[in-house]
Amino acid sequence: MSRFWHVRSARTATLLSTCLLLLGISTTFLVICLIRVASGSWPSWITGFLDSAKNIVWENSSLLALAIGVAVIGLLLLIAALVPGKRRTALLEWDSVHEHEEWVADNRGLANLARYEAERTDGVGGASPILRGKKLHVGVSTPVHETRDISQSVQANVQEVLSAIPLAHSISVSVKATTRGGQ
Amino acid sequence: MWKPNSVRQRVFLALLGLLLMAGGACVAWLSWNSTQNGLAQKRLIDSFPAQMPEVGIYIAGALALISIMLIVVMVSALPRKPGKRTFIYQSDKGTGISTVDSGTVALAAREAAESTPEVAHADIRINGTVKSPILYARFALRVDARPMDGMGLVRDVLIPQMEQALGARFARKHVNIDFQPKISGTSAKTTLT
Repeated sequence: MSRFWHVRSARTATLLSTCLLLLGISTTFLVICLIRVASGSWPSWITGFLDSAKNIVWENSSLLALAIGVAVIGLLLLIAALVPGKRRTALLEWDSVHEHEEWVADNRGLANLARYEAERTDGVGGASPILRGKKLHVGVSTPVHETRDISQSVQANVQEVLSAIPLAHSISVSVKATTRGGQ
Repeated sequence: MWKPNSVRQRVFLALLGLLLMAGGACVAWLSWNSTQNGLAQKRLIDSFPAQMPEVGIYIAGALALISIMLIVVMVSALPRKPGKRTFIYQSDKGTGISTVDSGTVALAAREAAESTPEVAHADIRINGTVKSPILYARFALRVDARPMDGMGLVRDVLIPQMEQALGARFARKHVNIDFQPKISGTSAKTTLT
């Protein structure tokens, strides 16, 4: 079963921007070449560039720099293509390849749930959860100076609500409380 | 509900990267070793096997081909939604034939889901065939409702009801459960002034 939701991040923006840039360059030069072939002379707005380009020799340092730049860009694109992206979803227990059922929970949604639970805890002013793989880190701000009890309460509350969700892999919760705005 | 052509995008990106890297490295190598190759003072333009206007025609042809290929790459790698194709399920119960469009079932299921207190938003698509329908769905649950209530509603009520309406079990289900942040309304807190 091919998955629809639980997939690694795509490279849409990188591919589109690269293709559009190359398309712009190739189309511009295509038009210039067609004008040259049709009219027998180069368009006036490109003659200056062509005159300088005509005299470029192989040992020109600008040519070497340009070629190295293009090669580096190519290498970066290759790395971007090969580096596996992160998945933005977590599998649920109900997910089953054999039964052709894909069940996932959105990572951002889980973070929203954690934020809601953390902010419901007594003494918490605000919460900012970050979910990375199977680890959820919740930063909470509180006006209380003694933060240990609040951290423990938030950790217990968030862990409880996440445990209620039938995730295929459990998520461990860590909390860091900082005092803000207290007297 | 977009499906990114992840593999295709990565393949195209890798090929583009390899082409640029190979081209750039080749020119850089020739330029770097131009003295040994005897190319040092040779003009770049003189390295082409033909002169204008013939070379212009070749370059124009190559650029046109590159432009077409780039457009094909972009179009084929764009993210897309699951097919909009709907089908009509027909049931004959002896008393008459009733028909239902899968798009109507999806719409009704969405409205039913959104009318419950647990589901804030639903996006449902059904495609496939009459005998083997495929479900693509995303349910955004409210964070202030109990998560398992919403998830149970989706799994045990909404989806079986859709299957009942379609008269067939889903051959494949792709379900995403999201949790929507609570929209803050007017504060009920008393402000001391």
